Amino acid sequence: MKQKTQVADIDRSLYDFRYDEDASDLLASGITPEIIREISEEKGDPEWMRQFRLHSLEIFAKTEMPPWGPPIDGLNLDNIVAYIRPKSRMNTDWNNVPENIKETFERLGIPQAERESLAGVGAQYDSELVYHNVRKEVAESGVVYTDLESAMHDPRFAEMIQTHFMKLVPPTDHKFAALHGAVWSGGSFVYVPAGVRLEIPLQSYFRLNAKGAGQFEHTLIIVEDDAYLHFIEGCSAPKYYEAGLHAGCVELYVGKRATLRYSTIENWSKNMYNLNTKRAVVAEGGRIEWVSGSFGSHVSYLYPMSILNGRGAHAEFTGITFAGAGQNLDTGAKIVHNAPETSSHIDTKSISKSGGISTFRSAVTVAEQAVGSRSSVSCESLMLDSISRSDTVPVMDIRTDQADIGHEAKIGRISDDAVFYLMSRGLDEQSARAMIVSGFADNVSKELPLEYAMEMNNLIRLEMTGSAG
Amino acid sequence: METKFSTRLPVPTFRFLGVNGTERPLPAEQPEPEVLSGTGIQRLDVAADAAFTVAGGQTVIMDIHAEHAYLQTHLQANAYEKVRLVQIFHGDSVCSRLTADLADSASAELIQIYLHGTDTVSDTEIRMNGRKSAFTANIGYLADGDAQLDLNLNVIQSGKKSVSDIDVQGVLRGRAKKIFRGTIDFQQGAAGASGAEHEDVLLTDPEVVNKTVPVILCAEEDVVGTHGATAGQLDARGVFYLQSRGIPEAEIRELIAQTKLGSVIRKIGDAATERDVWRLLGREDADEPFTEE
Repeated sequence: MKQKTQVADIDRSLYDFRYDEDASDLLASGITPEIIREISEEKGDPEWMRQFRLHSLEIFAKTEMPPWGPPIDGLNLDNIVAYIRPKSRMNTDWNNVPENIKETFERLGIPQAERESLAGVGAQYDSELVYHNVRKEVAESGVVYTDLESAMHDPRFAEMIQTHFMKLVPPTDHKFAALHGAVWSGGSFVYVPAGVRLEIPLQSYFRLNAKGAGQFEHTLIIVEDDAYLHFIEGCSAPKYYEAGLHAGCVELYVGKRATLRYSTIENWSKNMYNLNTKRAVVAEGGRIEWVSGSFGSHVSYLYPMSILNGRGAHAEFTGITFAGAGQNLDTGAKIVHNAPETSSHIDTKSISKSGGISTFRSAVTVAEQAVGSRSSVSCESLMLDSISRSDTVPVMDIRTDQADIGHEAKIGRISDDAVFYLMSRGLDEQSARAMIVSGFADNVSKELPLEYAMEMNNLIRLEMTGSAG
Repeated sequence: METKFSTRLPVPTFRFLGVNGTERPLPAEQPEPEVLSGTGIQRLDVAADAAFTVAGGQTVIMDIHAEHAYLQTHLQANAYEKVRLVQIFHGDSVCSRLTADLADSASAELIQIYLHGTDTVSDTEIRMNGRKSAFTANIGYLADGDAQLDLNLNVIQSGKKSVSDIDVQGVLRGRAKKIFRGTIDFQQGAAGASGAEHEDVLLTDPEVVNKTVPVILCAEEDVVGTHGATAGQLDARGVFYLQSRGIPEAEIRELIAQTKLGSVIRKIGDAATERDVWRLLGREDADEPFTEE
């Protein structure tokens, strides 16, 4: 008789703490022109941005909900609070951050990570950045790491922001891109000058504390020619019964021969709808490397897109998705080969348990001009019980005869052969199964800095029982 | 009565890819299904709208050369029965709908070859309700000129220990456009089931459009499902080698394309039909035996 491997849900106690909001800090719920004008006023937007928000709102009103993907009818946008006034201005000194916010990030380990392993840190609490700091030597190399609002008002960067903001992800892209264009707030701006190689990462951490609220941060990163950056993004929220919404937007510009590694450990609470949009454009010889761990959220739509516009550009996507009870996580990647000799590799793993639904969805498109391009996609899914679901929906669209494209996928349970092999090496069955499940996530953890790999491994606390029946 | 023929991906995806489904108008009047009975090989010449029900124990070979036609076929394999269906498509503007129900330990073998059609839409649904039911499909296509080929294959495995195996070999030339949607759907309760799907496409001209959607849906833990797809160009070293042996490049391309389809043609298992298919592929020496009889 077969006995099931027991894999525990993610231990969320670390993330499920909260502080009450002051009602006066909250704007009214819903998405209306009045609220958009109020957000714009609160933030002191330049005129072009105010107009941009209102135009995005018009697009939002006209655009239908996506007719594919997990159901999002539990999300009532009329109940979502789009903006929460910050309790403090953005600080570069940790001591000036309000006490409860400081405690929040300390419990999440952010200041410790900054001291030990980061070149700079940004911390967003609800709608606004509350802390941003970058090491002196990093700043002296010309690297800019600040909140997007400050950059937009800085004469050195204002034009750069206007040129790049929502050009990769236009509000017409989909309904939640339009919503983002209308209500965005917070997020980071990073500029790495040509030739600068930042050997230690920058990190932004996004915390949504308020009940029934939305977080709409915008991350804009420009890595100039021959530069290198590793950017880490983390996010969490305490659990409420009301639906929350995360509709952030990430736009990445990777210059010639530059490399950008973008790592995300997403751990929103299970009342969150994570409808995030991430996109990178890569110039000649450049590389974008996505590393993505999706553990939280009630519903996720997340497909980072890489547009390979320069000859020889390369994209890599390495991801793991863990869908437990009450979760419907629809994740994957999109790659557009738009230039000759571009290459890409997608490697994903997913685990479904306790009724969780995991869907891998991808699109690899190869344009007529992308001659000599190569792409490989590998996705592997592990089902831990028969009340869960795991689907893979990959698409390849190839429009040239001079490309080599491959795709492979596998779905199944823990292999009895692998368990037998490990047992023949002296492990008991319980340890063998534990090792296999742990190893399943290895593709992502080995791509992260050690501290973050350990955090991710802590996220998946595995408990194994059972013996040969 | 249906007025539109439509195919759809069981799980819709990004709309910009244009792969979620397709529609064609249907003729106002559709024929009643003809129930085929008996044993041995039955050869059918399909030159117009037609509908057939094929029972277990039969091998049916359909030569489909109709124009603007709608073909409906249903396979019914009861417990322990076997059924084989060979469909050779070489007409224009053909819509084909094929369904199959497989009971306990029943098996179905499907061979489909698509040659030179200008607009062919094929929708196949295999329902494997029976324990230990088995389904194999060998599909080959050569689409050239301005041909449009839209293939949708949905294998629903709800029977315990059911086994499916799908192999697709194709060649795209000229400005041909092709979509292949292949779905293996493991339903809850299909413990011990397995399914494998593979498509290999050779692209030989710069204006071809190849779309492949290999889907696995899974609601059962105890299954093994795999899919793979490759699409690519002629192997440059192989071409160079053959050129060094004095074979012109155009002939090499033809040889490689025929070799690719040959692996499907050889599955037909009927020498006369195989010769006919080779002739359709332009093999003037098709009277020579290509298959051991």
